[in-house]
Amino acid sequence: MHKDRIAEWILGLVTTPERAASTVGDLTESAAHHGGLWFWSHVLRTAGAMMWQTFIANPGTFLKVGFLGSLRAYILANLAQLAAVFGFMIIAGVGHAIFGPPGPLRWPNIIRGWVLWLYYLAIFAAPVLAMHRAGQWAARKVPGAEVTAGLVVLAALLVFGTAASFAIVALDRHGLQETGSLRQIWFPWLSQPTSPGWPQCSPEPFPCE
Amino acid sequence: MQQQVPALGEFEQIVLLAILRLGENAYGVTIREEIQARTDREPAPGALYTTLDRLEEKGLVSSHLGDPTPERGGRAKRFFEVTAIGVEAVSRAQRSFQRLLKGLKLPGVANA
Repeated sequence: MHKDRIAEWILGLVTTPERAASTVGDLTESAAHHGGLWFWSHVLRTAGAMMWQTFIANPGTFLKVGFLGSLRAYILANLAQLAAVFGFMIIAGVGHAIFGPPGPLRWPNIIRGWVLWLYYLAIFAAPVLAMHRAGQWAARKVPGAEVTAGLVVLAALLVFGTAASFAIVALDRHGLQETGSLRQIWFPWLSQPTSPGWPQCSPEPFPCE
Repeated sequence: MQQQVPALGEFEQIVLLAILRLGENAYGVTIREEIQARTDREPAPGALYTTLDRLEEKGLVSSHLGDPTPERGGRAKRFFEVTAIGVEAVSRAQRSFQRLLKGLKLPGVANA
């Protein structure tokens, strides 16, 4: 792809196709005296300036979309992760009942090998899919300023996600250690068993006594 | 009903005056060069294009696309012209400056 086409595509994300084309034409004409670095630097700076202009023209709408979009992404991501955890618990239980050795079900022993990697994939894909859905929702709310809306949602997610992480760490430290930490809930095989009901297994490679 | 003339920022006035000076040849590159030549300031393209978009939204300038040219990769120039309300807005801003300057003695400023 020619560099002008790429530049036009980048600017086309934040302005109309006609304006993007004429702006790239101007920058191409000026770049004859300044060089390629100047061209790309000003393509990106112009795109940034156009996005900022879009944002400050209607900050209330974008902040609302950012807040609601990030909340939506956060809730969706947690629901998806919970679904993944419970889904794998059910799969593990059924798998153990059919193929496993006789005796009680030992959760940490069930998920291992490629199933473990599938579990990790599901756990980490869930937030990505949730962010994608939230981005689609935000883009529909602000037609013509989709990229700006997406970036505002991403920034809000960063802020709220960091705040939520601090809150969870504080909660984990002060409230949940007695009954089993959040780490034990999400990644039970990584935690040293502490509670009386927990199977007494060593962490590597999960053999039970 | 007469359209209200919006207030202008400093850079908006500079851009409007540059377009008026250039006449029919006012597009992104020449506007930047004119501003640079007359004010010794080199405006960033991003600042110029967002200002031009804002002025167009306010109805102070209008634009039309010219013919594609090879040195621009076959892309058309977007020519700008100041509308009647744009002329009124920049005239009003300049009259305000003149009234403020009147009677002042500033070094290097004529008619102070």
